[in-house]
Amino acid sequence: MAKSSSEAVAELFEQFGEEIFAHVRLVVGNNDTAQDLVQDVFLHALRSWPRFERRASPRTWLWAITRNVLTDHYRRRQDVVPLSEVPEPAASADDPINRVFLEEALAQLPLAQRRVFILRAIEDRSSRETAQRLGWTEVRVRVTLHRAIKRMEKWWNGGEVPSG
Amino acid sequence: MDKLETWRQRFRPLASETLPDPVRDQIRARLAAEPAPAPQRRRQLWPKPIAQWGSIAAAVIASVVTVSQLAAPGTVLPDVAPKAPANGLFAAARPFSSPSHSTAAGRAPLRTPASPVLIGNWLILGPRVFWLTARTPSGLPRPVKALPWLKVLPIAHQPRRQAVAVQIGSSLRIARFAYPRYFTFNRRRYRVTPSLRPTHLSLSIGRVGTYTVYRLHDLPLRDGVGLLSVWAPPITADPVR
Repeated sequence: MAKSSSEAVAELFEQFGEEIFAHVRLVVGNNDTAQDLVQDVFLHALRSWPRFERRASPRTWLWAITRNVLTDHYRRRQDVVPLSEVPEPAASADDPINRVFLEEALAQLPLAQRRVFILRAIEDRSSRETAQRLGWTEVRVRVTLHRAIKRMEKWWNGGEVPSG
Repeated sequence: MDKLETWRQRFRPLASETLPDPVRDQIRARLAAEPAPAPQRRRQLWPKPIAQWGSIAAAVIASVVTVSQLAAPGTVLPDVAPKAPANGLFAAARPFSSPSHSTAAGRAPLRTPASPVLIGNWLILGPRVFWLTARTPSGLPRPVKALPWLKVLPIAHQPRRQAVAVQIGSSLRIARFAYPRYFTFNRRRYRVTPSLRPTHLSLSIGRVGTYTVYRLHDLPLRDGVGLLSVWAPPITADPVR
């Protein structure tokens, strides 16, 4: 018997929920927001399940939804950063101070660079996979990663990083 | 160790974040509670389901009947002329750029009880006829001598198509059409020519059933230009059905 849409999406959540959360958490730098956004991703998936034509794998499809949810989030948020989104040290971290430092390092990257940096440098995805997830070309991924690393090095070494 | 690996090591503490169990449970519950989405229906363009053919045929017959009922060009029935807006035949028309005319977004225009209600228009531009679904409570087509209400606009991505923006009363509508095409109107066969521009029109008034018909004719160009407006009588306490 065919699975209902909610069962199918619930299964996807079990399979890919962690992976998507880890990524979203790194991008937004805040647990609560990341949890909300992950919920949004899967609710979107549930609502658009009838339109999912299986041309791509469910994982690719979910990542496309994640990309859109993140874009919408940043479009809505614009430049306003609520107090609750100030990175907080997580209880599970071995070294909370180091963690805050790392969060700040990520947060200083512009969104596009941050997303590439997270996928390539932290999550260890290939250029090809990163390009797929972001809907970019591999060349764009490589160029953006190069800029992100340069900027990150500057920040890491205490140099001035250009704003924006 | 390559450069990327160095960064990977540095950021390793951040990569271990997991979804807390209560949140996981909450998302599961939310997914289970969400109503099932409606199944996606593919649009069937052709062939049409049999049920649709009935309504298509009815629409075609209705439009043929309506057109055949219209008075012939030049027919003047002066007895209905006073039912036009009380302030004069063309006085109700406002400048094209007036903000009160910006109803193109589809807002229903206000109905003024004492005014005739426009129930529809045919625009005849060159050999082309368009059904315009404007509904407007007051105002009449202005003579085409004051042309700002009629504009022919090319549609950029379809160079063989054009659009006509027409302001009728307080409504602005865009009609789209294509050429080449032939059509027959009042037993005359019109051929599409792309370069027609109306120079002037005049007005005659007729009546079709309970509707007052204003017909702009006097076709100075070879293929004809005209605007046909069908108006319902003024709304009264005992509305005409």
